[in-house]
Amino acid sequence: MLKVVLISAGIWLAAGAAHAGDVQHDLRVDGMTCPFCVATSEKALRKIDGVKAVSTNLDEGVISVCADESVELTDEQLREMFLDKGFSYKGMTKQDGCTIEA
Amino acid sequence: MISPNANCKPLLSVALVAACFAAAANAVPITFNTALPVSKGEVLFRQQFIVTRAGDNLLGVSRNLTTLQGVSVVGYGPARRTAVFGVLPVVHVDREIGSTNTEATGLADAKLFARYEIIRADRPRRTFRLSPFAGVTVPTGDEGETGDGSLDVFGGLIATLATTDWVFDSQAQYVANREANGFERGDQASFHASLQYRLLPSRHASDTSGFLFGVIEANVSYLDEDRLFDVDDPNSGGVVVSVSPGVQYAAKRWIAEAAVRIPVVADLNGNALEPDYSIITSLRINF
Repeated sequence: MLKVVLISAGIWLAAGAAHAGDVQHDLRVDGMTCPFCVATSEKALRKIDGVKAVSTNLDEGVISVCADESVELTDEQLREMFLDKGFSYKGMTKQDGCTIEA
Repeated sequence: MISPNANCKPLLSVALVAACFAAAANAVPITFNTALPVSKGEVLFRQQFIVTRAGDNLLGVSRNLTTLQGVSVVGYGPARRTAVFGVLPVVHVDREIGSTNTEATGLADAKLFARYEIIRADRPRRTFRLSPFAGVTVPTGDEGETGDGSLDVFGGLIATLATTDWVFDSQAQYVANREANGFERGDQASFHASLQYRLLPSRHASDTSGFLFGVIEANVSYLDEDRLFDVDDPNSGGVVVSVSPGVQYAAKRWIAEAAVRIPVVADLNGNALEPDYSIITSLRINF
């Protein structure tokens, strides 16, 4: 019984540690109006090393990016990337832990 | 630069393999190609199939023209705001005058053009774009059969206003046709407008798996008279106004669409052949 409890606790702690290492970036992007805009933007973001999941709310014009905490997304990098894709990056907020599914 | 989607499973047909590498597609006009969106470093492919009928009865003699076209369009974004396109049509032309019938099949005149976005005004869930374009029509067709033999130039301006609910595209274009071997097709000035209204999902745009659009397009074309050895052909040219209702399904990776172009005004010079209808279908993939 003790063994089961210890193993369960270990798994729980490991999962918690992995989750704590993720950061969610919510990017506000103007000019997105269609499935194409979403897909081409998400495709570019997924190519960044350390990005684990991307999800878009087209109604709000917000792209949520779940990435390892070691990933540094800069405003300049994102501005250039979205201009190449045909949209306008406006800014981002960050929070520890991800609410979107990987 | 182009990498396969990891979720794609082994596919048998070329079309599905192409779809596996595809990026995305969005709503654009069905009856013209200048508004096709291409991002920097991306490629799109559009394959159109077009059936066009024209015909009338002149002094008791029936005249009919049926054209079947397969039009392949490739676009590429070499730089931010810039897109270049190649349009290669293959045609089958069936001409019937009374009991005389002639047919021709082959490559028609290809088009090459470039577009540059001079204005981009992005807002949340909407955008406005304004882009001039210019290009040439090269005489790749069989002169007098599937092509007119001349190197022609064209240019214009395209404006797009898009929201998550609808997209409006408009285009003004001028085609300056040139002479080849004594024949010069008349110049053409045209104005196109296209409204694509999202039907499904009808209320919310948060589901981005695919949109179904209802499409209505209008076209006004003024065609100058053709010239043969410096003499105007009085039985050519005129004004044609047409409308094109259609539907369009835009998924993340591809778009399928169909429209019927119906002439509502055909004010033609002399005995110029009356246009009837066109059926346009196409499939597009963005890589």
